[in-house]
Amino acid sequence: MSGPWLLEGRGLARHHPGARRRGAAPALDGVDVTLGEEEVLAVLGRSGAGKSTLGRCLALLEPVDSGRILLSGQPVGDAGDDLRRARRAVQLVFQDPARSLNPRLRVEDVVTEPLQLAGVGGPERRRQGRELLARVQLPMELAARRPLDLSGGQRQRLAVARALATEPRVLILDEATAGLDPSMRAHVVNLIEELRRERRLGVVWISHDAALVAHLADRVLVLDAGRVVEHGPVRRVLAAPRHPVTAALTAADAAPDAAPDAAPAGEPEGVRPGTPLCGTLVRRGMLRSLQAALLVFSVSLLTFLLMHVAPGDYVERIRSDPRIPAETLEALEDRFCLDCPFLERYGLWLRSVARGELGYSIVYGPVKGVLWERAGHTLILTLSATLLGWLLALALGGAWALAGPGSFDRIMGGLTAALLSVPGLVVALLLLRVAAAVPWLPLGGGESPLLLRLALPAAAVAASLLPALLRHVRAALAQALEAPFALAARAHGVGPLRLAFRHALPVAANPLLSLLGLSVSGLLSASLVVEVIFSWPGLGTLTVEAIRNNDPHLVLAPLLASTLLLAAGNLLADVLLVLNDPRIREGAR
Amino acid sequence: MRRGSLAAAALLALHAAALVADFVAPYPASQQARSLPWAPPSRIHVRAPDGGLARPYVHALRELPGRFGEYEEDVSRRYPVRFFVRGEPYTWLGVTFRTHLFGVEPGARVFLLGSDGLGRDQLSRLLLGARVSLFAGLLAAGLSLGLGLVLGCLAGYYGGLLDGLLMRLVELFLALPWFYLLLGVRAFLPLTLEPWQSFALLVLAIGLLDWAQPARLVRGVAASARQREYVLAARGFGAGDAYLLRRHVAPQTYAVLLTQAALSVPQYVLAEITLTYLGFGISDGGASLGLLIATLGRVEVMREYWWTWLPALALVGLFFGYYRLADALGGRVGHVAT
Repeated sequence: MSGPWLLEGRGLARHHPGARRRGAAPALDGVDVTLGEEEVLAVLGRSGAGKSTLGRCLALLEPVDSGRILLSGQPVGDAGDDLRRARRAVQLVFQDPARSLNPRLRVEDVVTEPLQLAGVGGPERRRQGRELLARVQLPMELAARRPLDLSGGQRQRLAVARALATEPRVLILDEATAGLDPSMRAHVVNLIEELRRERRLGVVWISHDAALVAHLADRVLVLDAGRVVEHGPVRRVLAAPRHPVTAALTAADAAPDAAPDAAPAGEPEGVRPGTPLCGTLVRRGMLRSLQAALLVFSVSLLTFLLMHVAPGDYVERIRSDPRIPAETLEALEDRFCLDCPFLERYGLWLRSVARGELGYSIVYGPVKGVLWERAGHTLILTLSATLLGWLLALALGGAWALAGPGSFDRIMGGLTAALLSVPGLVVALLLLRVAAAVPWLPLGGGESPLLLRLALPAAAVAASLLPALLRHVRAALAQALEAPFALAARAHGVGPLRLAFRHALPVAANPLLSLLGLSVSGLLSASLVVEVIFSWPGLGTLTVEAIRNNDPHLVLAPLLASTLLLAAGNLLADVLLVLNDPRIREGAR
Repeated sequence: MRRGSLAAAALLALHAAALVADFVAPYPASQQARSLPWAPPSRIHVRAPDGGLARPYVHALRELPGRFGEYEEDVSRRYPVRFFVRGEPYTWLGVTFRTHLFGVEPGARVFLLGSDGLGRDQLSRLLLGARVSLFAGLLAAGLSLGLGLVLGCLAGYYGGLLDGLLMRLVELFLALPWFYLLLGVRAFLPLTLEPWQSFALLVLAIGLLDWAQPARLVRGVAASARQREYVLAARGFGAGDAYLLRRHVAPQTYAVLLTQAALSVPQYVLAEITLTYLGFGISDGGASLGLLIATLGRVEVMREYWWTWLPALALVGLFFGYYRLADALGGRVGHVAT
């Protein structure tokens, strides 16, 4: 052939991202390929031979690690407008048109999209779009439909029409007829042949079907493991294959893809060796602690910054607050230098935190005493609410999952949907109303026994958790109960309770344990409101009190304590997740 | 009928009523009838004293001598309930109107949901308050979802280092005790704020604190959309990153975002209510759902005046509508982070 090739690839090599690190073989390993005008080149190979990668590299949609691609003898730039222009000259038609067409666009928009990108104006664009649809023999009625309304053959013709819209010189067809039935396949093949002659296109057929390309191609190139193993005129190569892969491909025509698809060589699949339990726990713990430290640091910095930049001088507000005694103010000024620059004040506060004093409160003096006491109360409330909520959710959710479809299922569904719509605040107020009606239930605070004081606040927090928990527990258990092992257990005569809690629950536990970690943040928010409503002496009431009293360090402390509680909750969920993994447990033995 | 269309229609009607609340409400939100504290919902009579049907009417209320907050009807005069009546002027979109949907002549008052301790009409306060609270919730949701959309798309589409950094940030934000943080933000601002300042604070704080969850959802969808062959095909005919993001990637995420919005709006409305209940939100001069719940929040009030529960009931209805909608949109209501 005289003059430059229409499309030429020299020494193309390509590793899939990340594959090199795993030591996997390259997808392309020094491939040379050429294509002339109006020529049809077939690329044959087994699954995984690198055919699709070659197609994508030639279409300039995937970068090559080394090697060069030339269009009409000109090297292609690797970025920016050059690349985009070059891409329009080489168009790729994918195997599965259902996936290569955006299901949200109308057929007409699919085909005119490339024109729009080229800056073709509205009416002209519509005219050309209709021409293209007519060219691939798609009826005009389909123009306003979506790709999913079309048949497989229609979709593939639409994909071809779209590829033609950029007026390409080269068409690459990646198994473009593989998903079609024989009559549709013939239709598309004929269409491509007509288009090739009409528009002087170079065509690359990528296929594993030697019989198909035998009729179409001028030359054939056989790929295996990323290398060209055979190359030549189609008659010669298919009639007298020199390489075993080619021979297998031509012989396998009757049962395509059966024989050639040997399992890729590599390390044998097996169970991952057990990870040591302690190591995993320590690593998770360190990660969470690091995260908590970072959180505490950034939250405190942010809060200090806010104090600094907030409109209305906060320090002035403290000084002019008549409730604050002069000597307290003096002590505060003395230790924390209210007039110093922002960073200096933050540093002083950090030092106080490091000493374990955690800042200085106007009402309580050193924050540490009151903080730990209040944090303890919040911990009691949230822990008992979590316990109550999960026990109820497991019992009711278990019954719900075991019951299956029926009236109980409908009742529970309606009930959870209704409960979900009652905000925690309203639940707490309702329970407060109950307390007001029942003489032996305290309205909050006071000297009654802890259990009585705890009952309603814990119930209020648990009630705000319950509906969502219930749904999750049911969903997870129902899924596990449908698994084959659960059916087998049922067939062996295992009773429903044992089935739910011994067989299904451990399998369903992982998503539920993750949920436990995720719900801690909501739990703390819920408990804050409930604490205020029931005057429970926890972190929530402390925060509200501190804001009302203009007590800066006392605002900060519960925020940090709740951050720590949250981190601890997440760590607990992590630990439980690790403990629930039998492989890791085994490794520890 | 499609699932959730009933909920959507009801929500639409509710939001429309809140939008033109000045017109639907018979009185301004802060108009007091000092002689009528804690008046129960008005009895609407439809029978004349002789037993025949009459145009619906109410009677004026008279306080029982020596008994605070207990009333009897003054049956000497009937006050028919009229539609499109002239009442207190209000300004809507810069135009002043005087027409209200319904009302009675001066002399009596119609309190469909009763009155509060200052004799303010609870229905009017509910409607006008819902406008503020819903608008705050919608605006905050717009902000947090918008931020989540942009950051999630960038992370999912570009991947790599940007993705890693943004997702670590997301984990950090998800691990924040965000209501405590909201209070922390509130703490250093002056204790009493103008209603519009509280409103702006609420919207900004929630929007900027709560973008992490939507960003994570969007990122997942965007990362998978990026791999789609039609995105590759569009790149093949010369589409740039900005075009691909706008035309092919972002639209894929709208379904997820819409569902998330139906879950977020009630959460944010609740955040306003909670802040106001605690006394750090919108102050009593304005109107908001939180103020109504704060009225209910006192034990003696909730015990003595049952109609103060009606706004809470309306709130439950609102939440139910939103969750039905979310359920229909994506069946993911269980994912409300409890």
